[in-house]
Amino acid sequence: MSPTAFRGDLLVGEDWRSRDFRGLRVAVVASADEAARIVPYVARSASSVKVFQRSPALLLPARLPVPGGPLRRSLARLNLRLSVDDPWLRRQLTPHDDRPRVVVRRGFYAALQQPNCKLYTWPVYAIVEQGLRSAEGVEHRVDVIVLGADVDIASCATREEHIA
Amino acid sequence: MTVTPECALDHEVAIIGGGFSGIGAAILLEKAGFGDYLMIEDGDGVGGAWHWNTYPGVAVDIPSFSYQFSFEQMAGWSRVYAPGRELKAYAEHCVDKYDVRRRTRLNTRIVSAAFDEEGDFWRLGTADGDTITARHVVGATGVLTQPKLPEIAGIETYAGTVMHTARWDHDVDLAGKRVAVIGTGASAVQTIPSIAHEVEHLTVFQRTPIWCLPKLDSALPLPVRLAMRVPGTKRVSRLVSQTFVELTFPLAAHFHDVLPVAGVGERVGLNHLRRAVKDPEVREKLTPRYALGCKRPSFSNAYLQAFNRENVFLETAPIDEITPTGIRTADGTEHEVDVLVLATGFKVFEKGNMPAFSVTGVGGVDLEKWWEEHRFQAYQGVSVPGFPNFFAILGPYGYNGSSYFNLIETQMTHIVRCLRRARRTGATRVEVTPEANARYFEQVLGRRRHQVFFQPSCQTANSYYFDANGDVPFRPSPTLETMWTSSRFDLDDYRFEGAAAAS
Repeated sequence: MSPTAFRGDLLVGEDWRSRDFRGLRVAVVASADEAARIVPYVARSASSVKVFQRSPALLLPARLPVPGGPLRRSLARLNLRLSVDDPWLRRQLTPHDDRPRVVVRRGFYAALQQPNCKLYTWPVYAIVEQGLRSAEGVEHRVDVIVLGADVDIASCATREEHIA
Repeated sequence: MTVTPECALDHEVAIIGGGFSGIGAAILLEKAGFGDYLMIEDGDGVGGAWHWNTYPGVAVDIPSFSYQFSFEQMAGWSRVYAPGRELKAYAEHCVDKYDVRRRTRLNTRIVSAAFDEEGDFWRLGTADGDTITARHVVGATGVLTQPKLPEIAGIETYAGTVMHTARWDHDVDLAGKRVAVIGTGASAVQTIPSIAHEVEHLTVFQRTPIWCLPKLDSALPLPVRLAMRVPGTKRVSRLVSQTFVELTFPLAAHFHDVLPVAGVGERVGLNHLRRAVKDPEVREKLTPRYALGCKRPSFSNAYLQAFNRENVFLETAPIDEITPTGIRTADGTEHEVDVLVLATGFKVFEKGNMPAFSVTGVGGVDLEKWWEEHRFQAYQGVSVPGFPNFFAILGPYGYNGSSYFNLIETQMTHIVRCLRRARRTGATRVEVTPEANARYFEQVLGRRRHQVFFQPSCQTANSYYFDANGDVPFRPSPTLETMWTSSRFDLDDYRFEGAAAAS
């Protein structure tokens, strides 16, 4: 039995790798690290991608021979500054904590700036029949939901049962 | 004493108006960390003037590079002077991107605002009988919002179709109709050339001719729009366009006696008129008899030319009466009309529009009455003594005449500084001191002698710039000065009071 009321396809873990997203509306719910892996792939074919990001992380496009710490973080910040032109999107992609993690991922910022892709910073509140609902009460209708491996799907489902 | 804890208020800030002022206020509040706001809009969509005004030919009057927020510059404008629908789309874009929509209440008309002196908050009454409470209020009501109907006898007896340009009815087919346009202001200048080719006959009723300057407009084809994406290009085009706007209005009007810009502009305007209109008699009627700048000038490459058409007739005889079938002028001529277009503009600096709802401050003082007694005045166009926690975007002597978006951002700098200090000190009441307000009022009046508005020829201009007292509540400053002052003025010009601030 499906753990949720969602009528479309719910992809968990690595299920998204083998899928064809052509013409589909997709929502990606994942940590920054996971989203940065999933979104560039999905955005290549999907008709629209809504990215629900939990707290952002800093990204570097390639492995650099730089020790972790302030220097690596500055480089990642520079990467963000150079890759994203829009200050508001940059602000949404900037981690809030003092010493954020730096992850090596390529293509996330570029994918986010494609016209078919949009970043949402509101937490997902529940998975519903036609998609998902974010915390401010908007229902996002999609065909496929991709959940990152580290997202606790049970909590979403339980919450939905409470409402129903 | 009644206890009104912070959490009992609906919102920290209420923004009244969902036009670009309201949207700008919302975004800049959010950026400054004041996320608990509510934007209240009377209409059924955001965008204010650009939501309501959809008449044929509606477009911006200043270059689009200047008519946008500095923090949200678009590369996609289709023309130098973008058409109205692009502005409406821009408003929607801003509202979505900055997550304003969630904190917007549409179809809600505010009818009253009253300050609660015990709890230091505003109580806003809506037309539906609701009450919204907020610590602070940002009045983003704009000025060009309330259509003004002409006071002509018999207008209610007219049997044909009547529409105001700001409430254009797109279901009305003008093809083959006899149409009359009353008014030759900014809306008429855009409407007339856009409908002249489809109507059977167009009569334009003019009271005061408008200064019409050539419009340096052009389409922005795809290569140009792509070039706009090159870093720095948007900034440069904005700078050029800001300089142009600054020269053509604020500097020309406020420093009329020092700068010869108005004189040059008049020569350009007369030259434009001479080349555009063939018939010398019509040209004579279209020649303004007041100095450029007394009244809002217009920019168009098609308005004057429209009078060369055989189906367009310019009537300058005053209107005597509107009959069920048409318009009778003072010389006894009857004009039969199928569709009557009122391009009669808006209520501006007059009773019932500043703002359109009653505002009651400390001691039950009514803002409109207070202004009637003391003339229009407000500290930097933002706040009025006796009306704490109430901030206007476009108060008297706030707007200097350059891009409206400059005004929004400048005034928000001012307002955010006040709110930040209030938050830091725990103050619940922020009120401008009467001394600071008087000092500012004296300063703006002192600059009068430089302004174009107060020379004799302006008396015939019939301009909405003038209020009932004959004042022109524009801010007599260059834009750079307004930006400087809003970020540098002494915050001690305000009193910060309230529970925690007392210590």
